[in-house]
Amino acid sequence: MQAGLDVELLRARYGLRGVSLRARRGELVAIVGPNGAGKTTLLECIAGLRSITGGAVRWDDRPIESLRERAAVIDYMPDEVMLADEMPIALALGLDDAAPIVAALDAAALLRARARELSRGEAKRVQLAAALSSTKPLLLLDEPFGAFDPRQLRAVMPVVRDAARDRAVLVTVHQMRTAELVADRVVLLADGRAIADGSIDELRARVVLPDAPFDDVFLALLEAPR
Amino acid sequence: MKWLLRRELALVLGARATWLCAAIAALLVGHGFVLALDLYSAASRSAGDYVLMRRELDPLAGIVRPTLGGLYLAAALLLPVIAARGLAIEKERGSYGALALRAGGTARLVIAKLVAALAGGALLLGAPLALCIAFVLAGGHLDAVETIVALSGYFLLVTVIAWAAVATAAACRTVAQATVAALAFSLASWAIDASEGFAALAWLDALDWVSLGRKLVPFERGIVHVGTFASLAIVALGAAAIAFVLGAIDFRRRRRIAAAAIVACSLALLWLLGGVHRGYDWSEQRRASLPPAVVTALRAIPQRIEVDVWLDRDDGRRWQLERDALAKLMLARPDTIVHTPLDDADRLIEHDARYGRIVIHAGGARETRSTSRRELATLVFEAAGVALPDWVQPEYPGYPIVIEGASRTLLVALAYVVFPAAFVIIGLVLARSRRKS
Repeated sequence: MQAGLDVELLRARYGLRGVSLRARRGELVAIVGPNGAGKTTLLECIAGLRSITGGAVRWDDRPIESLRERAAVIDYMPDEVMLADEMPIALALGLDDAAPIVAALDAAALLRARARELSRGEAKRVQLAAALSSTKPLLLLDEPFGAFDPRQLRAVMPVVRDAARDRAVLVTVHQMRTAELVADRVVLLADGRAIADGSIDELRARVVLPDAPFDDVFLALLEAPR
Repeated sequence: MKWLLRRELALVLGARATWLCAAIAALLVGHGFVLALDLYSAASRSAGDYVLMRRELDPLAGIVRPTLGGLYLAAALLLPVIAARGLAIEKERGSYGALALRAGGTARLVIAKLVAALAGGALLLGAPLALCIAFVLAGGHLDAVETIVALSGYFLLVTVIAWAAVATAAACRTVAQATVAALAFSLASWAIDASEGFAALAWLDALDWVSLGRKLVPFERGIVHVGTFASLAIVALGAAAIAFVLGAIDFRRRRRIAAAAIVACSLALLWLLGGVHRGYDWSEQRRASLPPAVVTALRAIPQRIEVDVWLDRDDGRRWQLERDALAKLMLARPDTIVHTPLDDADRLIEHDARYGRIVIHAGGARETRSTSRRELATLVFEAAGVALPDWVQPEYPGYPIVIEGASRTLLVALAYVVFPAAFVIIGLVLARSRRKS
């Protein structure tokens, strides 16, 4: 793996109380945690969309501070549906229906629609296609899997996994099973702090639950003394 | 950047709200046009063969200006809705930051938003332009240059309101907040304009240097006035600068200070530009100016010209004096200083004996109670001790036309039905559903 993202003791008002993590090129890191843990805030701070009160964000060992510096490196997909109702999807997202990622996510037909004609799940799928079609080396995906049914989820996860082959990907995830299937490493946030960071097996070993579902590992990590 | 620009244009021009506003604007403009057309026809009919009356029939004043009056109303009330929405909707939906990252920074994004807002505003100019062309096709006369000058003034107005709306959107979090703030901006100027006709609002008259409506007056007369042109450009550029500053995502506190500094600098420049009176008369046959020989001679007078006008601001004679004789004198001599002592006095009772006097200083002094441009110019030369040159001016022939019958019906249909309906239909087509159920 090559150098990539380093987040050092990131602090933000109403959210983060010193979060450190790293994500190398070729690595998909899942950020998990209870509601209000600071997952979205963390991604927004890394993206430069929210002011920080301390800490630093580095890419390839160089600090990235201004939005322009971040824009050269980062693509960010927010949890919200970011399409104005009347926008033709292809134009709104700058997506070409011949792009391989569009076919991989079975989104070609959706590109011809307007945003108001899409369901939330469809809107998230085209937004995900737009984010994954980016050539930037760091992808921040906020709840990319939240609106999908199990069949779609099964189709989408390998595409996201594949996108992490040559770049660093940070995803926030609510379903532990999804994190288990898709992530190389998991960072558990609670109360604005990273309380655990490691591969699925490492985290299982830490709470001595080697064969337990990851939901149980998650709860055990949250309840463990810090 | 090309994709971003196309995206932003699609956001503004693909919205039904934009085309609905354009249709309402076309209706307002059309109503002004039809009223002006009927009045102009009636005046033309009554002018008959009277040469002097025919000369008074000026299509710029009789057709173009009232038609554009409807545009001013539409721009003030509707354009903020169109122009603020493009940026405000991104903020409301939380997509602004992600889009800025995709665009490579907020500056590019704001540029695209400004261009798209201006394109939305330019739609409002479509109806008056089309109606002017229809008037010419119906046999009416419009001088191309002076009409373009008038339209360009309104284009500047549209630019100011559109970019101010983008600036308010950059400062606000929701579409509703941004629209209300942008409307407050355009309606504030309206309130100042209203002060001209109401003694009760006279206190607002002190702010006339920031009124957008009053800055349009020279354009409506075919005059490119340096001060007003620069003022509108300053407000537009100031609004764009605020949009850039407040649209940035970094350093919130510094941004607010920078925005306040831009507002302060813009106001200071506006105030200074209020003293710039140089203008260029591009009206047909330079009818907004004094005769060419008189202008040349006035410019040769070495003394400073000052005029004391002892007329109340609500007096019709003062209104006539300011819009005709003084405006023409100022075009010839932009350094002329006009004093209106009654504006500063408590009321006119204590100045009763002096009321109505117009005193001209140019070395010596002369006094009159006439508001005639010829009388005023004559007295300037007398005060300066210079002989009045020949008062020879190319005669403006006037362009009477009676439009009635089928031609009128057609123009009325264009104004009230065809153009507004065209905007509605274009809007419906552009915003139609694309996905088959």
